[in-house]
Amino acid sequence: MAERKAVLFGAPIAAIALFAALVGFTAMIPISFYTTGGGFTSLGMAAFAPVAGMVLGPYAGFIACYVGGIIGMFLSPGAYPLGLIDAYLSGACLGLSWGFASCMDKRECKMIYIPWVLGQDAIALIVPFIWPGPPYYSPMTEFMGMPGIVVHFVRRYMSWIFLAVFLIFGVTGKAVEWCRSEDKKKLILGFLFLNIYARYGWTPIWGWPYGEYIHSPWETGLLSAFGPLWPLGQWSTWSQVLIATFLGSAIVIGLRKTGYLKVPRSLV
Amino acid sequence: MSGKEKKALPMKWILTWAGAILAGFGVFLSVDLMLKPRAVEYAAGLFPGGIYFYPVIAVAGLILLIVGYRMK
Repeated sequence: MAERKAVLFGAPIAAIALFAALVGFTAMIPISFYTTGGGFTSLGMAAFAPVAGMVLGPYAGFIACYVGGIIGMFLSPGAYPLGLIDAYLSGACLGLSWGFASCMDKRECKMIYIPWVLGQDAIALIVPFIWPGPPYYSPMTEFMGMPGIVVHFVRRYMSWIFLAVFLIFGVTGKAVEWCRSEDKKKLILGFLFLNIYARYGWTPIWGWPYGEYIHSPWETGLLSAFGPLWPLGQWSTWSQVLIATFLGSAIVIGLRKTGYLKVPRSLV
Repeated sequence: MSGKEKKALPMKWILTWAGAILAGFGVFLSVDLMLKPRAVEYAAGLFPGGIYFYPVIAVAGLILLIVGYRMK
């Protein structure tokens, strides 16, 4: 018997509200403190917003995470120090990026996500050290005999590795295909690659406004790439990737088995 | 659908897993704070005893894990 349900972009409004509440409430649970102080990454940002994207798809995920971000902004200002801007950057954009990453086997998502990711990364490459650059920003100094502009490209080596993961497993739709596989190893690898390239897709849109706001000096980038800040950056990235991978795979597989939720453009 | 009755999850495993998750979370955040001196200042200002909160969670989780695992 056909049953009429209140749906938005193919996702039941009840599920959108549920994920919004989850993202908002778990904003109170810190998962990694910012190295500079002044705030923390919450469990909602690290795990539940990505899961909302995977389960609800890009558009419904965007709405759920935006509402969740606004709730979280009031419940836990430390998780969203920039207020409404953060509810968008560290909330809504997470759902959008993971949502698009989860439907990379569809032409519609590819047409939007590929230019979005590459465009964002190109902006992050230029802002702020090349443009607006000095005197507003610290100049790119030479390092180990390499001129500043070369150092700027070399110090982003992790970004190039993530770009390779995006091009090999994201653009081809392999990661999404593996996420639907019966083979457990392939399935976990699929979720891992999906989380890596979805994070790669989201980081620039979060990073360059934050970089502009924090006014981080050139030396911080150097120390993160070649110096003692390297383990901190890696710890922060990989812990969040692994949490989202395991929680995401568990929830998506559970929902698939129960058949409770079927949303177009999602992993369920 | 099979007519099998589902067995309730034994309390032993509920406690063990809850303990493992809490202990993992506590250790994870304690290490995270240990690595970041400026974040410690921030966490200390969040609420009284802020920096001791996560090690305490880790120990409580560990106790829960041991109690759960040793349960008959």
